[in-house]
Amino acid sequence: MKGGIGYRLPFALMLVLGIFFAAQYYIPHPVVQGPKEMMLQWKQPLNAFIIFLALGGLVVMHARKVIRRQKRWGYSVVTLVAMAAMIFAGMVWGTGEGTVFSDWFKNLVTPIEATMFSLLAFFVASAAFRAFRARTTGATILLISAGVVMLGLIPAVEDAIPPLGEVANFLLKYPNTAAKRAIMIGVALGAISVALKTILGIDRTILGRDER
Amino acid sequence: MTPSRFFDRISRLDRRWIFLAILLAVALPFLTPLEFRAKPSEQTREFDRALDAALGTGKPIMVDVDFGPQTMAELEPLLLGVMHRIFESETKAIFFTLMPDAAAPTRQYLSEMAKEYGLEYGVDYVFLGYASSFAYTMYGMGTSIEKYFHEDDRGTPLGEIPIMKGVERLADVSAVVNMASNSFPKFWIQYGVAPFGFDLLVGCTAVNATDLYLQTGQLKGLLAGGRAGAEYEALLVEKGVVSQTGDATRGLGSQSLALIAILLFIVMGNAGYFLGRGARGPGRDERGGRP
Amino acid sequence: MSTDPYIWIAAILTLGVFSFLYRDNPFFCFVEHLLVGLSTGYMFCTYWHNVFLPELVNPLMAAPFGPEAHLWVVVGICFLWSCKYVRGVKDLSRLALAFWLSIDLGLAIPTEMEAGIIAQVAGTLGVSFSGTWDQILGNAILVGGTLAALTYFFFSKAHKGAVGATARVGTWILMIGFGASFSYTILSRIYLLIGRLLFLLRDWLGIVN
Repeated sequence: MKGGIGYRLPFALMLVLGIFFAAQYYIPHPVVQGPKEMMLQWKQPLNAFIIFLALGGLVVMHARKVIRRQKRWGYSVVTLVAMAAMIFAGMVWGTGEGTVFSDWFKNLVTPIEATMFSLLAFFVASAAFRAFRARTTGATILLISAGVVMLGLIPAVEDAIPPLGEVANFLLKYPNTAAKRAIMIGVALGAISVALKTILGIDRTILGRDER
Repeated sequence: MTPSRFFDRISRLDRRWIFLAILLAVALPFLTPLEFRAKPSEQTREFDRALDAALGTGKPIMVDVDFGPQTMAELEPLLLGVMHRIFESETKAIFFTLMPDAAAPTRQYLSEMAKEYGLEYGVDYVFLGYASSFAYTMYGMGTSIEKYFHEDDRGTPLGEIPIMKGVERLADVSAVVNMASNSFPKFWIQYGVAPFGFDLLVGCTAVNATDLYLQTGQLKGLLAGGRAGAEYEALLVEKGVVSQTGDATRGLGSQSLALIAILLFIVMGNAGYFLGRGARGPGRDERGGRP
Repeated sequence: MSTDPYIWIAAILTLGVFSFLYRDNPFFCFVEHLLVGLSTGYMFCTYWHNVFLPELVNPLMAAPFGPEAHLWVVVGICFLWSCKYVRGVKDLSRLALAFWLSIDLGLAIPTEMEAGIIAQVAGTLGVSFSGTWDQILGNAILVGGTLAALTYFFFSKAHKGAVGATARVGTWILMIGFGASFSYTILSRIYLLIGRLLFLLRDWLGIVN
């Protein structure tokens, strides 16, 4: 591996710790489990710190937009004021049930977030209308399978045509499970190979290149 | 207008008409007096039997609430149904969440349940709050819960909470129930069930429904989506746990009409594509150009 | 109709989001940016009160050299991570990233093997071929379908002859699976819309009970 000690040290650390965490799964001895418990505990506050850094980045981005009066800077003011108000409410009055923080989450954040996601119902219908075409054998099978399962999910249709409900359940229980299982096994094999390649330093892109 | 031109026009319908149709399909059933009921399926009954078995052990049960406002409409009925079952059976319950958006809603649900069943915090139930690094917290809780939740949501150290006495790791609870809008059930199986082997019951959105874990025995029970929520509400009414069904059942009519509408749109779209081709001639796409 | 001001605010914000369905407009942009601000403020407070304070600050303040003194390493790693934004010492942040990734990747190997491969293969090969005819047929499809779909993902051999035919069957099995997933996805999205319309019609307008 080319590069100085500063470049190689993170890879060495990843190799040692990666093998340690893979091996500890099979070694119940306290000598191994003790350090593992300790390092897993570090993850939580570290995760919080990374989130704080990300939020700081968001503040900087919006603040820059406002200071430089870039396009749509007014909306950045809205974001910054809302963030500041929520943080003030949470830090000063607490986050428990019945606080201003909790009321704002329930009556401001919840409706907007839920409605944003509910827009997907419209877009999925529009996409199904425009793009769902039985152009090939595979697409036709997908269409028929989707149609049968959708009809099977309608209580009135299921009651009126019981065999349709049984066919829909059969499709869900057997071919659908087979497909998902094959994908799951493929994904697991892929994940293991990527993990091994990265830990062993074969794939070095994740830690960046030597900048010198 | 020739039929092929008509179908071609249909295939180019402005999407806002589709949006309006979906809106009406979902809204209209609420304005009619029609009532719909779901029949509990075998999978729903299997979930309830597994939950029953867990509630009968005498040990506290753990509930991991992992959904936020985005999927509240689908998962709230499932969670409320499970909460009714747990508190009606007077089983002690430990709640926590591994998703920050779920912390505030969980406090609200627990507050409502505490009023309804006259529960005492710390004795009948406790909310440990939010813990980050979900996969590693799941893995770590198999050995020690206190290392990942030093305090509960109200800032009380775990050692001072009566319900937590004797509950040090996942093996000390009867089961873990995970209500999740994401792939957390998969992580529970990977980082919890596989290494430590405990009973896991899952309520999830229809998108994340995976029977394959049920078939391998890695999951003891699965409720997937709003439809399963309606079935579970019907089952709870059947068992006398609650007196009436809730929002999931209320939405069955809308769900049915919306599914029919979408099926019709798919048929229309395909009819427009195949029957409208005659107007364009062979070898031309929907806009009249060469593909 | 509701008289609760919070319900009215929630309803107006809901309609603001729905206005996007007609076309993009300033009201929608305002609501969108409001959500970003409020939810990031919420995240900050939740992480602070539920994670950072109880899991790092409080234990170290209570006993800086007690049984949880190892948490000082977290302070060190946070410092290393921050070096990413300082010119000249950016490389130090790669150590923090290496620590972070090694746990993820190391733990992924045995857990994916056990839960993702061994259990799934055991579940496939351990099916019973007794019972009613639909159970026998279903289990045969489960085993055969899984093998066929796995053959489709095997690219080390050209998909010709018997391998090609099996891979094609695998594609069909995958298409059935995707069709079922598509139906469930639609169902899931419809329920989200049902929730919002129930709020508007029942909680706000009161025209539905």
